Amino acid sequence: MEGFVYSQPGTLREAFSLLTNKKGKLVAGGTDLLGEIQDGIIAPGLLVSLERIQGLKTMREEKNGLRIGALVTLAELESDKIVAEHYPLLAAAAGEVATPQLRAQATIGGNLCQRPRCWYYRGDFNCLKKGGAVCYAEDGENQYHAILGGGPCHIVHPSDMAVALLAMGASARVVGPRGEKTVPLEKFFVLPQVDVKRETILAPGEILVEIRVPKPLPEARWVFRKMRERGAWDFALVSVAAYAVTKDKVIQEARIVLGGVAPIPWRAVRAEQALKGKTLTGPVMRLAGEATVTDARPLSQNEYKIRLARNLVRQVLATLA
Amino acid sequence: MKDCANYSVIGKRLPLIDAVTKVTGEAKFTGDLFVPGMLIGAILRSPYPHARILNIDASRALKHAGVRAVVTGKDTAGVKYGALEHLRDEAALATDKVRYIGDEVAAVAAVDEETAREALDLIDVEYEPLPAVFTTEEAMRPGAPRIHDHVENNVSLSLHIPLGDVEAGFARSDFIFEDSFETQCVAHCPLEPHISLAACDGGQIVLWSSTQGPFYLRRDLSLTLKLPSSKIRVIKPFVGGGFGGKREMTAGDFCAALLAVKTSRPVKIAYDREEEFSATRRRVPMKIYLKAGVMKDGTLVAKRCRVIADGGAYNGRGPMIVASGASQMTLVYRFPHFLFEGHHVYTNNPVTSSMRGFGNNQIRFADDSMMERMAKELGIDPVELRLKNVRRPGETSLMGAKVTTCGLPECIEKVAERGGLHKKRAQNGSGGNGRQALLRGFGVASAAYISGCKLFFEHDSSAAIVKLEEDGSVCLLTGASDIGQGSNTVLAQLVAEELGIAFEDMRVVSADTDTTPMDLGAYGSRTTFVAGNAVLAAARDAKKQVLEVAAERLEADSADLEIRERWICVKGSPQRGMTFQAAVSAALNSPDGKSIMGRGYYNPPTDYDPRTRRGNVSAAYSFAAQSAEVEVNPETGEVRVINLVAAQDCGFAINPMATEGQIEGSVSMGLGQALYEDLVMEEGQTVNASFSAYKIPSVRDMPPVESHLIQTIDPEGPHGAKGIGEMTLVPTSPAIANAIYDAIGVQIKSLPITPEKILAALKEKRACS
Repeated sequence: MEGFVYSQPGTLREAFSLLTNKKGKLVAGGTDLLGEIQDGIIAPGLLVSLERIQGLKTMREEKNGLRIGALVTLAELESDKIVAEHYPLLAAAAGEVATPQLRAQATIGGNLCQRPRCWYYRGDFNCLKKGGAVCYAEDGENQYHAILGGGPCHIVHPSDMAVALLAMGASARVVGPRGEKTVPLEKFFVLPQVDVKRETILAPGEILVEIRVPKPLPEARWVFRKMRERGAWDFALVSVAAYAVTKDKVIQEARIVLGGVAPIPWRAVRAEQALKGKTLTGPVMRLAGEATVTDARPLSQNEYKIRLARNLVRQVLATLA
Repeated sequence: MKDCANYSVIGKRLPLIDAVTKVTGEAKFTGDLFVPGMLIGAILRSPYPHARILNIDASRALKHAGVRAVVTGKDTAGVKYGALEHLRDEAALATDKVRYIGDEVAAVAAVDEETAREALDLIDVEYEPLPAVFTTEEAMRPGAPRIHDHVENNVSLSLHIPLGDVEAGFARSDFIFEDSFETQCVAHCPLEPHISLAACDGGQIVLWSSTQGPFYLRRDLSLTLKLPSSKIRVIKPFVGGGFGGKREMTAGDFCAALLAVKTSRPVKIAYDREEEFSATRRRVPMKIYLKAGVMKDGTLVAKRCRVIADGGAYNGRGPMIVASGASQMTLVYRFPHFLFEGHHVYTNNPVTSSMRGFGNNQIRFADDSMMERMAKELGIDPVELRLKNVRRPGETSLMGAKVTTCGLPECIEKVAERGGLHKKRAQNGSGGNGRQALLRGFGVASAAYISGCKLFFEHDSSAAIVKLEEDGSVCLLTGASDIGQGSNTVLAQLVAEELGIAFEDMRVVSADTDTTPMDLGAYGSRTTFVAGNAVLAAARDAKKQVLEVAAERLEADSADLEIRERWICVKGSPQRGMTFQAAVSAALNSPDGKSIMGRGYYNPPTDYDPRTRRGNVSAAYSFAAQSAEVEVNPETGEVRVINLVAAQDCGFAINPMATEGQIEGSVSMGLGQALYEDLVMEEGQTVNASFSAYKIPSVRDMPPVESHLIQTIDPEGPHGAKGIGEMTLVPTSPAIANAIYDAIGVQIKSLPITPEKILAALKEKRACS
C-alpha cells in the first residue's frame, strides 16, 4: 500500500482545488475507498475528506420532500424516524446493506459513488475498467455479472441505495468548480458504453453533495427486496425496488428498478409500461416480470439471473397487490 | 455405562481454561509477538501457473535501502519435504520451476513491511512460461504438459483396492444405482493467518509459528534446513484456528528461519488475507463416480467408487486424503463387495491438502446423497434404509477397521426423532407443491471418524509430564497443540479428575518442542484420545507417587488411599487424611527432596499395513449423524436451513460444552461448504481471494443447532472418550443437500448448492414433467 496525504478542507472551494489541481481522491466514510487502496487498485497520493465541510451531514424534510446530505450514514437513514415514517423504502434498503459496523461508517454519497465489486476489477487483472484491453468477465467467471446494459464491460452496480432512490424518483445535487446542477438520479449513472472507466457523471473536481427525494404521493405503495446468497454482508444477486401509485386499484404510475443486473441501477421501463393503467392481477404481474428481462443478454454463466429478475419482479408486485 | 455422576471435573460444562485470557485480549498470538531488532519478511510469489525459472537476480532488491537479505530456491539446495518420503515433491522455495500462481520463489527481510514489499518488486525473475493445465481431465490427457518430470500423466498416486467380488455383487443385486458427484475447493479461513517469527538464540533457531503441530514442524525444518532437530526449537503461541490448514510447514516458516540465520536478526513473516486465500493449502476437490448394488429390501450388496482428485501443484497430504476415502466408504454402512479406485492428479492450481474431514466429507457427500436417492426410488424411508445397513459395534469393516464402540444407530435414530423427520415428512408430502410457496425438506446423513492414525509415521504417540507444585497446584506439560479447539482445557480436566483436585488448580504449558514432551499435533481427531491417554498415564504416575508419600505419613497402604477435593484419605475414613498440598510439601521436604513429576506416554494399538492400506488404522472410531430441515424458495433458489440436529458418539464428552462448541462451529463450516463457499479460479488464479467475495456464513445464516451426545464409553479412550473435532463437520453438507433434494425433488450433485443450480434444476424438472 502506497502512502498518501490526508487533507480535511473546510470548504467546498478548497476541496475543488485539491481535487483538480492535486488530483486528490474524495473520501467520505472510506469503507470502499480504503479497501481499494489496500488492494492496490488505486494509489492516490492525496485523500480529500469531506468531513469538515459544513452541511453535508444533515438530513431534513421540506414541503417537497427529503434532502439528504451526502455524508449522512446508512445507519442514520436506517434509524431516522422521518425516513421510517414517510420514506420506509429508503430505510428498508439501508438496513440491507453490508453489516451494522459498515453501515455506521458508510455514507449515502459514498454508497452511490462506490466502485464495482467485479472480481476482475478487484483482483490482479488489468481489466478494461483499469485501463486494460479486455473485460475478463466476457469469457470468464461471469456468474455474478450483468444481464442488461453490459458491454464492453460487464460489471453490475453494487449499490442497494441507488435502486431504492431511483424508484423514489430521487435526484442528485452535484457541485463543481464551475457551478452546481441537480440531475435525476437515473442520469447520474453512466453505462460502460459511454465511459468504461467510471460509473457516474462526476467529472474530476465535482462533488455529490446532496440527494433529494420527492415526497411520495399519499396513495403510493412501495416494496424493496434484495436477494443475495448469504444473510448479511453480501451484495445483491438481484434486488428490486418497486414504487406504484394506484387509484381504484388501477396503476397510475409505476417505477421498477433492479440492482445486480446491470452496470447501473436498472430501470425496467418495459415493465413499467406493462403495468400502467392495469390492475395487479396474476397475468399482469407475469407480463411485467417478462417485460423486465425482454432485453436481457446473458453471458455464459449468468442466465439464471434472467429467471431471478423475472421472478423477483413478479414476487415484489404480488406483495404490492 | 460408567456412572458419570461420580466424576467431579470431567463430564462437566467448564469454560475453556484460556477463555478469560482470550476475551480480554491478553492472549498473545504469533502476530502479537515482538522481539527487539526484529525484521519483517515478505515472500515473492509466482505470477505464472507454470513456468521455468531461468534466472533470479536479487541485486536491485539487495541495494534497496532497508533490505537486509534475500533468499531463493538455491538456498533450499533442492531439499524436498513432506510427510511420506516417496511422495515428497516440494521444496520450501521453488528451484527449477514454478507450478502454480502463488508458488513461493524468494523471500526478503527488511527493516519494515513496506520496504520488504517494495523489495519484492525489485527481485528480477526471468521465467519461461510453460503450458499449464487447470482441470484433472486436461492434466490426465495423453501429451499433457508434465508438471513434475518424474510423474507420468500427472497422476501422482493411483489406488486400486478390490475387496470381495464387486462384479458378482452387482450381478446378484436387484437394483443398480450409478451417479457422479463433485465437490468444490474451499478455504480453511482461520481468523489468524499463517505467521512465523524466527530468532537465533544460543546456537538454536527458535521459531514461533501459528502451527497445529510444533513437533511435526520441527521435523520439516530439520529436513529442509539440514540441521539436527535439537538445533531447532518450535514454540506454538496462542493459535487462532487451523482447520487443517496449519499442519504443514509453510514457506514462511522456512524463510523466517533462514533469513534469521542470514541476518542474525529476528524475522517475522505474516501472510496477508489474499495470500491466505490464494496461495495456502485448500481442500481437495473430488469427482466421485459411484455405483451401488442393492436388494429390493434396501440391503446394500456392492459399491464401486472411483475418485479423481485435483491435487494442485504438489502432493501435500493429498494422496493420503484420497486413500482415506476408501476407509470412510466402508465404515459407515455395511456391504460385502467393494472396489475403490482413486487417482491423485497434479494440476497447475494451488495445492490442495489437509482440511478438517480429510477426504471424508467429499466421500460422504457422494455416498449419503446416493443413499437418499436409493431410498426415494426404492420407496424406503431414508432413515430405515440407513438403519438397515448401519455399522454396528463389534464389527470389522471391509478395509479392516475393528469397530469396538459404535453409537451410529442411536445417532441416526436420535436425529430422525428430534428432527421430526417422519412427522414433518408426512405433513408436507415429499417434494412439496405450489410454485409460490416455500418448499420444505428434510435430510439426514451419517459419518464415521478415526481417533488418530499411523498414516504418516510408524508411531502416533504423545507424551506428558505432570508436575506437582508446592502450593498444591499442578502444572501439565504437554506437546499437544491447543489451536482454539480447547485441548488444554480437556487435558487439564483429565489431570484434575485423576488427582482429585479442582480444575482451578491446573495450569497447562503446551506445545514447545524444548519444554514440553512430544506430541505429533492437532490432526486426525487424535488429541483428546491420544494426548488424553498420555496425560492420564502421567497423572496416574504422579498420583501413585503422592499417595506413596501420604501412605507413609498416614501409616496406611497407598492402595487404600483416595484423593477427593484436595484431600487424601483412607477410603471410607475421611478423617484419617491430609491435604494434597501437605503431601506434595512433605515429599519436597523429605530427606531426598522429592519433587513429584508424573510421566506418561501413549501410542494407540493399531495394525495398519501401508502396502495394502488395510488394517485397523485407529484404536477407536467415532460416529455421527445430522438432520437438516430447509426451506427453499423455488422462484429465487434461496435456501434457508431452519434447524439442524446433530448427534454424535464421541465415547464420552470430557467437556460437553466444548464438544458442543465443536459441533456448532462445524455446522457453520458445513453450512458454508454446502451453500456458499467455492474458490473461483481463472486460469490458475483465485478470483475471490477476500472475505467479501469468498462467502462464509454470517450469523444471520446459522440455524438453531441441537446437539445430542451419545456416550458409548470406549474401552480404549481416556474415560471412554473418542475424537470429535472433524467428524462433526462431515455429515453437515450431505444432510443439507439431502434436505434440498427432499424439498425440490431434484438432486443437485455438486457443491456448493447455489441459487443458480437450484433454479437450473427446477427448470430442467419442469421441462421433463
